[in-house]
Amino acid sequence: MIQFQLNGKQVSANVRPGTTLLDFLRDKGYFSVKYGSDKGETGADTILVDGNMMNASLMLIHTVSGKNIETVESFAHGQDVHPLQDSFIEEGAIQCGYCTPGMVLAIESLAREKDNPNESDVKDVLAGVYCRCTGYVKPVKAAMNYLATGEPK
Amino acid sequence: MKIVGKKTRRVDGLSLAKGKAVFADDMPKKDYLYAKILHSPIAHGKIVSIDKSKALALDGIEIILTHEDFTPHYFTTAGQGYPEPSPRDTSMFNKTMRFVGDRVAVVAGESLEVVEEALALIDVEYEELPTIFDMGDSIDNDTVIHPGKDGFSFLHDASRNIAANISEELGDVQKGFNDSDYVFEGTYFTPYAQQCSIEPHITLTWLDENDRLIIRTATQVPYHVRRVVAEILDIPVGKIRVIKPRIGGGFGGKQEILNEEVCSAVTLNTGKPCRLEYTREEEFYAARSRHPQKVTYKIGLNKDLMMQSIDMEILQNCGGYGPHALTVMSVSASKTLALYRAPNVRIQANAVYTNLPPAGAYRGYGAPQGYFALESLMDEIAEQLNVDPIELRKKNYFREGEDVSIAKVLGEGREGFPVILQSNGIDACIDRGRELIDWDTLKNEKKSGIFRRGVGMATVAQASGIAGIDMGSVFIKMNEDGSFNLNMGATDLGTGSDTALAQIAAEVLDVPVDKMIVISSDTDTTPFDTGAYASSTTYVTGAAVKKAAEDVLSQILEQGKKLLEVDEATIENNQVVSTDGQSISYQDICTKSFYTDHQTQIQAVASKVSYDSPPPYNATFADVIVDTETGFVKVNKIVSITDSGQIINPQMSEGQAEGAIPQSLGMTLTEHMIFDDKGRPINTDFENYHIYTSIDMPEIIAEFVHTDEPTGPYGAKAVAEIPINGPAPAVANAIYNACGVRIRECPITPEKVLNGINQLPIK
Amino acid sequence: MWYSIKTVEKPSTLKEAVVSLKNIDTTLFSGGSYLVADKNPNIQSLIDINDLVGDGVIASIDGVHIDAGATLQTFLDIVYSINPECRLLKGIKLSCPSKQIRNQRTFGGEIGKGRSNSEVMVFLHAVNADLTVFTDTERSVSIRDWDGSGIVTKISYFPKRISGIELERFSLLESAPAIVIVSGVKRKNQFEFSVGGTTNKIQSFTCLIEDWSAEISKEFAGNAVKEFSADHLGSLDYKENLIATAVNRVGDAL
Repeated sequence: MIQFQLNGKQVSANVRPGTTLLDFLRDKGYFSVKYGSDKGETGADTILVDGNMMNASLMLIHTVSGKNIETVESFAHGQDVHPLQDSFIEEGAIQCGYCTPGMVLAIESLAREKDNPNESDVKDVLAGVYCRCTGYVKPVKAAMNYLATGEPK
Repeated sequence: MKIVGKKTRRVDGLSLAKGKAVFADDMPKKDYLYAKILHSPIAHGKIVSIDKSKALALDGIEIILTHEDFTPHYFTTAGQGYPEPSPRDTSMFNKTMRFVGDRVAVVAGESLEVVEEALALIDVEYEELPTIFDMGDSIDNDTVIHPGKDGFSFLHDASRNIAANISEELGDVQKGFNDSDYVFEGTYFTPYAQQCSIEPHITLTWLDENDRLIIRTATQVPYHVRRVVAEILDIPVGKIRVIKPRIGGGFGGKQEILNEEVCSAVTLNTGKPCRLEYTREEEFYAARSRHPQKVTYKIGLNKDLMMQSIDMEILQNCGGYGPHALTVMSVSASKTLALYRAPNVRIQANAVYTNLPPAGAYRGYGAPQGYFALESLMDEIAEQLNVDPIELRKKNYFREGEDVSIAKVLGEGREGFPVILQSNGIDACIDRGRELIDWDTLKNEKKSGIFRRGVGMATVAQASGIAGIDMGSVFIKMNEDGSFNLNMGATDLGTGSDTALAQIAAEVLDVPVDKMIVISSDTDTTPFDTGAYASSTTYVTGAAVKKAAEDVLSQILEQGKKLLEVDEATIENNQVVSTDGQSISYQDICTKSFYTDHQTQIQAVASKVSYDSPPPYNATFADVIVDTETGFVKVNKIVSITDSGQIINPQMSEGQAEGAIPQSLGMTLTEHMIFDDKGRPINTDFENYHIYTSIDMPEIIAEFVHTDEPTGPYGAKAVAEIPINGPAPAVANAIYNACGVRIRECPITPEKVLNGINQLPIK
Repeated sequence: MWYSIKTVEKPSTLKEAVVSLKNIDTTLFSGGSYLVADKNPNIQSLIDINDLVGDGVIASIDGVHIDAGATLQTFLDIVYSINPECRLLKGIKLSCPSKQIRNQRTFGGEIGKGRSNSEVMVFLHAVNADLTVFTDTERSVSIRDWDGSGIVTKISYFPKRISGIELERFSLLESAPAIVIVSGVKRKNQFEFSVGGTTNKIQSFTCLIEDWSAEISKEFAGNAVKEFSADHLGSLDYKENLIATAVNRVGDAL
């Protein structure tokens, strides 16, 4: 039995030891965490573990014992939208949207970690979140707007 | 205009940003059977026997289907209109394997674990056959990949391994060359490249409470999926419902009936829900990709730089099967030959079978291959004649009012329709791009040192839907709060078409976009649409939306006049206002129409098929640095300026260009599906197949110039594909400008560049 | 899902871990980013040593000490906090462009995997880092000499002993694994170069500073290329040229 925090709630997982966190989360209906590849390159499976971005598909369930896991599901409750998500919508940074939750988590982890991050910091955290639609132009802009003001422009 | 041409937030933006359950796989757990395909390990051979007894004996295995379970029914996996112009050369399970990754069997069971175990336990005996991997060896080879068989159709010449052929001539090309002052020729190659949508192919199927087959799938072509699955499994179309939820990118890769029929067969045979998802590795060798092409252009022109003759020859590798084989070549020709005017034009093209993976539709659909050749050769001509490459091009463009005669002979699989150009903004595109890239300075500065900088450009065209073939239809109905349902078959594959089409409807109906409730791509609840391909949705379906909305608007006006009991009225700010100053709101009109007065549902349907397909135009400029000691090329900046007529949604349109550019740069410099000497794929993950990531991106500037296309909704032309055509030749031309090396084969690897540098007379 | 995994063992001492490791269906588990990506179906049991090795990095001019459980990102953060201008940071970061994976990948895992197209590995070879390795007892062995046996618990190197360090890499894209990586250091009166990339192993070469010339870099390249193979990234001739160019650039920068 593995216990950890998931989006602020204590959860228990009684699953096989080879279960990845991606398997577990999707099984529980956390669909913002997605399959993109088997080696973590696409980052469609990005989550935050104690605030650090990681690939859920590369984590076995036993390693999250006692950790604090966050997914995008925790970001906006009810009708409210997190200002970072709003910035993505406002800036046109979403096309197919498959990578968007991963990008949002990546930028959020950067915002928490670093004061006044610059564009190359943004690109660095997005390097592990592949997007085939946008060319990263608008996602970087959306991130910079949010990081500069905490709000979409 | 209040909404068209203005920034508008995506109608699906909020749900996507929040990671809601909107994609095909985001379904509460049913008791699915998990299905996986057993792929052929050999490139060419006959299945002698399949022993599935050990696999079936495993606890939890439900069913295994192979060619032994079906009477062969030949079809094409290409998701195209009926009758499909692609050869019908495949069946759900073939007895002959034609590439590594070809389909041997499907295994379905209660967990992926047991299914994977079962895959390893199926004993298949093959009789191997000689292979063809080089497309140059295919025609008239002793090995015939599709020996003639009953049931095949639309296949050009199976005995010669030619899946499709085009042979057309306008005027007299040879005479044109004889009469020309100069004749230039060049041969260019583009490789297998993969669409790499981040969401892989995934299909879920189940039977509903009425035993109808529900197919929830990541597709660009829900109506074609319904028709083809019905045909293959021999069930009525009416027994099938295809639902396309949000999809995680397509780029042509999902313009295919790839696994839907297999997943459906499992459900029909077991009565149970089934889920079939490709892994990333399978995406690389068992899905589709861009057709490799060898393109030779020969151009004759006079001293005044006016072209006299253009001769284009294409050899295309379509892999083991021929989905899109004919039409991709046809687009390579028709989109490039529609840019420059010449009295004599000839096209000779063959798509040939090999024992490599079948290629398919990928954004640009042949045009990127053709333009890499044409726009590289244009620069070579300018270089040799010592003229400005931009001037050379400007002399030869088709201009407004001119008849693009090639369009009529090169339709998609049948004769096309004439195109008389009514809008062409190419000059403005060039002028703007030239300024933004700092062309005149960078082109002419002296190149020296180890790191040399150069600029290059290319101009390209595409089309707006397939004339006379693509059809979109919509249904709009009014609700009593003044909102409207907009139901349409059009398929938003991440491009934002739901939003752009809602903008068109909202513009007509004079309401904010958030009053439009969009439901798209469900074969039960939305009317027919050919699907999302050929840059058709905004232009074709957009016109249908406009038509339906105009109908609804006139019904609102009529109903308003009846309710106000007046003869003359207009529509202003969601109200019908009479000349004598009375008014009634949309809400009141609809509520009264429902419940009390002149009762009716205000609603309209409309369809649109366009016999025009006006070309959008684009000028792409590249700024690169070449490391002359190693041959490495770094792209600093790409400027992409497009004429797409009236832009419906500026921000989303920019996004289309910004995303197309790295896809093209990948094909140009880094992306290349490769195979070993047995035809086995080598680079089937992102560690070995290199796509541009955030840290690799050059600076990108994507802008649009305004033109007004009289045939398009609000003056619009297409956006989606055209920006992918320019970067490859622009980069090749920039490399030449930087270091004097001309590379005619993509990907332009550092070694090719360095070899070129080493062969230069003066370094 | 890694189906073959039946158990995860958490030994209480390294000694126990070494004993468990003797089973062929067993492997050491640290960050897991390589193992879980591969999901080797022959592995049934994981020996999780995360609680037995530290995850810290101590860095000063006197010595840099990296616990085997430290992640690549922890190392980068600490070096950055001491010297944000450090030119090596960018190259080392490209060992693993994805920050998610840098947050998961440990030094123990990276060294255990022995990936030769890892910039950080080439760097550690260039500085000839000392590994603390546990077999039956703890011993110290230089990274260039380590035969792969035992459990690495700590990695140390000593900036004081070197007076310059450089790294050059050639890859199709920044995010793509490098074809050639060369890292070089100046140590007393000599240059020491380590060569990695898409190759079987990282190799190291040394020459006296006074003997340094373009000819020497060609000679190094001629030897180093023997561990490379021709592929779609380039012929052997081309790769030899790349190595020579990289060694040259690193030598000139030193």
